[in-house]
Amino acid sequence: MSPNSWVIEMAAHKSRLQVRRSLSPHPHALGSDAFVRSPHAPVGNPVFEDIGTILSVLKASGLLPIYEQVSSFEVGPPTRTNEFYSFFVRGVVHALTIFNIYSLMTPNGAKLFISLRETDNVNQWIELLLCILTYTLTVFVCARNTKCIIQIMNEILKLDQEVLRQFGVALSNNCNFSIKFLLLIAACQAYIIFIRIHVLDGVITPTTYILIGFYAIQNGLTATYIVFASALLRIVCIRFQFVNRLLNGYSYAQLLGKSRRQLQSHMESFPEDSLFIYRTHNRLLRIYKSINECCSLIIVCFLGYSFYTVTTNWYNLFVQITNNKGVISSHIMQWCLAWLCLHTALLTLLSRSCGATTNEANITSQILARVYGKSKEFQNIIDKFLTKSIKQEVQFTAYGFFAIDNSTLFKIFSAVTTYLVILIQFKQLEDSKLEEQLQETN
Amino acid sequence: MHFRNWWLSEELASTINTLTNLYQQHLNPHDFNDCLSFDNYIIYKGLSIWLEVASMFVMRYGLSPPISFKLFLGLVGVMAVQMSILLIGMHFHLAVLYIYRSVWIVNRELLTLANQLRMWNIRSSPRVQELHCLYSRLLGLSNRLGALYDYQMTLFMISLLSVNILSIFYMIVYCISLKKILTFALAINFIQALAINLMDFWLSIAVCDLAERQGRATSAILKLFNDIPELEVDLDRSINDFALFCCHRRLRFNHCGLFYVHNAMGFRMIVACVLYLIYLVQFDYMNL
Repeated sequence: MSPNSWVIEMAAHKSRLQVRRSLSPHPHALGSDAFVRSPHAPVGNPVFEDIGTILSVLKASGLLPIYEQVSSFEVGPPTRTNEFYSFFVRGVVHALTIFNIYSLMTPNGAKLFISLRETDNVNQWIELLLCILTYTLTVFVCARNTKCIIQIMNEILKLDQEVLRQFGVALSNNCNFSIKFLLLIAACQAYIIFIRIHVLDGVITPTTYILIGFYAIQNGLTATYIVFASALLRIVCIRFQFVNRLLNGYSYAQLLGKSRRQLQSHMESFPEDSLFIYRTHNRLLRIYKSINECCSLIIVCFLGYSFYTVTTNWYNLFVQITNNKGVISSHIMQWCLAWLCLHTALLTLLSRSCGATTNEANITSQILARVYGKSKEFQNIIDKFLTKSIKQEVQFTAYGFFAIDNSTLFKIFSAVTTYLVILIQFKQLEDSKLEEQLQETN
Repeated sequence: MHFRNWWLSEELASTINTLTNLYQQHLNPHDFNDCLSFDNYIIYKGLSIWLEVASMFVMRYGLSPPISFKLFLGLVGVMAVQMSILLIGMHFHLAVLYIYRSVWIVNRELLTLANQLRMWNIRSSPRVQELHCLYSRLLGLSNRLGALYDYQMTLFMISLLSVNILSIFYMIVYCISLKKILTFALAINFIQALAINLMDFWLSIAVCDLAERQGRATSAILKLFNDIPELEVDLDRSINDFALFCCHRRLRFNHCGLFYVHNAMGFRMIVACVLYLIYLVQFDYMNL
């Protein structure tokens, strides 16, 4: 009795080792970057070190909790003082917002609008209000979701720990884009402030400075939060990719040209690995869903604001071109281009990272369908997953309003075009009305 | 609306009887206390109805200060009609909520079952069959309910949306073309009526969305059974059946065969309203 079981155990152990070896020496088959890092490298906080800068910015502005590092694979809730700090910062932000709205109502604020027409002014007003609304909402939602964010981080860390233990692989993140985007945001906002102050004439009171500065900070922080959400999505995406690669190792294409014995020994570990894969996939889906729930309201608001800003800036450019017979005043052009560049970049980033993650999550069943499953047992394992994934498309939705993926970018720009046409029609109506009035007075 | 309600009252009664029957047989022993969104939505709906009534009263009262007895009677009559319409909306809302809560209980049962299977080495359970049966009965009930209330709810939504569009449009006309200054009281009146209408509309969308999301969660929970090794064949089969059933017959609310009610639809409706408002303003721009 006992020797038998011993033998079996030996065999199982061997096959495990084999799988591990087959994982590491074929980086081209199982993907490259994710496996390069050695598992025994000193890990401080391996998952979030790539987005450390952006995390510290968000922590300082009170949008994220200043969490405690319990161990390298766990974060704890913030301490009392840090919590109080975040609370204080949020209070200051709300006070400043109220002050800003008040000073916009006074004639001091009216100087900020450099345009000539009624329609343009209405547009700028709406844009400002949308910005304020977006940021205030971001702060509120973040304050409410403190626990949720920490939970998401913990789940990701736990998953990584498990992957490290089972496969000896530390997953990297490729989130370096976050720093680039942070720089882009800072540069664009600084440039916009500079132009705005340059254009204003007359005496500039400190209130105006506060107004402009705070407006820029609001814009910048909202954009930073969006970059943070994209980075989180990217992290989840890389985990999905890992699962898919693991599964890909068992597919027909990988097993082509192997002898029967090799096949058998290769497929031996499949039942065990399939359990891990299914569990990880479920957990990743749960993380994905909770990220969606945390950020969806902010993303909806940001998309609305961003849509509006892009539209008004295109419109401004158009008005400038038609009015001055092709000669554009340089500062307005720079101003519009800075805004357009910032928002287009952010929209692209958001929709691309959502699209990539959704794609990776949905592709798992496709890969599974190609897994080599000659025996009844493997077929059962595969069917178990596939039956439960029929019509279960994973989607990142903006509060259930619409799905965000690569097609969203197209939809937004087609909506921008439609709205632009409507705005231009308004402008023409306004022009013809003015002419009529002039004729009447003559 | 009332006519249809009366016409189908027998069917309605039988549907509600089935629902209560279902609760008595299967669901009553369970603990409902931590179903938070059920409680929240009931509170919201009640609040919205009270607010609607109050805002109607304020509007009528505020716009025509000298009130004679006849006018008062007329007002009461109009308000009674509106109130009854609101109450029909509420009935549907409550029924959907009850279905939501039952599905929520099914989900919770499944979740605890998954946990139990993982923790202890139980390999079979007859519970899944029962839950499957319960779920299918709930689906049938929700379909019947949807069919009962479809015209009423469609009319209700259309009226809310058109009231919103027209009121915004008249407000714009009033302010700009008649060159009247918007008094503070009027603005507050207008905004509160608009906000309450929108809230009511959104609640009727959100509750359907809530139930639908819970239905989708069932499939997601069934996926959890994937990674439990060595399930008994019977249990495995019944879970598979349940999963297939869930993906073929989803919990959705269809009004008149025209549209499914969920958040995406609500968003599209609101966007359509905004566009319509812009067209109206453009048509009337020369007079503004």
